[in-house]
Amino acid sequence: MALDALSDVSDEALLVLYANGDQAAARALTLRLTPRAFGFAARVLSDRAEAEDVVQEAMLRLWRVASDWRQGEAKISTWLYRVVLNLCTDRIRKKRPSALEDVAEPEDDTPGAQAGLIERDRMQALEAALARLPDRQRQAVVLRHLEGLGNPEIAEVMDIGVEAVESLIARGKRSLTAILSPRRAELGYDNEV
Amino acid sequence: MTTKFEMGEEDLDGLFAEARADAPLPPGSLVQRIEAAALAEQAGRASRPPLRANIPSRGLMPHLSGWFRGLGLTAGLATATLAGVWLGAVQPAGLSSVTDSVSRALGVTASLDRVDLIPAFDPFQSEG
Repeated sequence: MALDALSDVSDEALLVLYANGDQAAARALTLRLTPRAFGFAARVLSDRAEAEDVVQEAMLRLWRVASDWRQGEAKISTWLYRVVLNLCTDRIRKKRPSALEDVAEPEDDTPGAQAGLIERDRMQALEAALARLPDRQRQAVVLRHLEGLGNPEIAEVMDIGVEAVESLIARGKRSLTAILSPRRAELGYDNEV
Repeated sequence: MTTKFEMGEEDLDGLFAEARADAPLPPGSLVQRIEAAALAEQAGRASRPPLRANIPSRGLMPHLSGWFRGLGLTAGLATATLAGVWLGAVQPAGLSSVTDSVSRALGVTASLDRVDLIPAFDPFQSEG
């Protein structure tokens, strides 16, 4: 089947096609799911190389469960986020005691910081701030505000209740505010509210 | 309330929006490796026998088959049942000839195949 013809096909239908031997479905699912899984893993781990390993492993697991996939029980993207999150958690645990939240915020002594940060620097500031959050807060904030998932889906991914998700997100955002506020002017948010 | 030294809710939301638009993209080599793994897994599965769909059975026969551990025993029981019904409904000619010859040898005029299953109670009543 042509790749263009699969653009409107759901993830579940694509997985059925893949399980039935459709090679175009394999490519379509790869192109559709890999960027989302990689973006999430890279932000949770703050390490692109490790994110590559995690996503490759998660996608391999997806291919292996394709023929046994129970349709209607879970969204494929939710399942994939959950697998990626678990793999990330395993790696973060192995990295302790130099865990991500213990990493000090990098000194921003670049010349650009003096004249105001450009957009790339804002992103770096956000990534550094996210890296300082406790694991679960970072995961919840990334899933909600960067991956765009709803709270019930995040609860499913993180295997916790919706209220716990709301609490993690609220605390995470408060922490981000506290971390970023001293650099508010550098980030270009210098108007008084 | 935020002061000029604090990030506001809108500031943070704006930062998130910029970050969503600037999502980390996977390198092409990763995409190629994942697709290659997908095709390899697919090819490996094609060489194995196809999986049977796990469809729940409906109707009486599948349940009977389950109880009698297979269709062979079910078919045998069904055949024996039909044979019994056939023998009861249609008396074979060979059996009639046997009963007639026995009747003649015993001097019985009535046909032996006429059995009075509900005999009269008159003889018992006449004795009081």
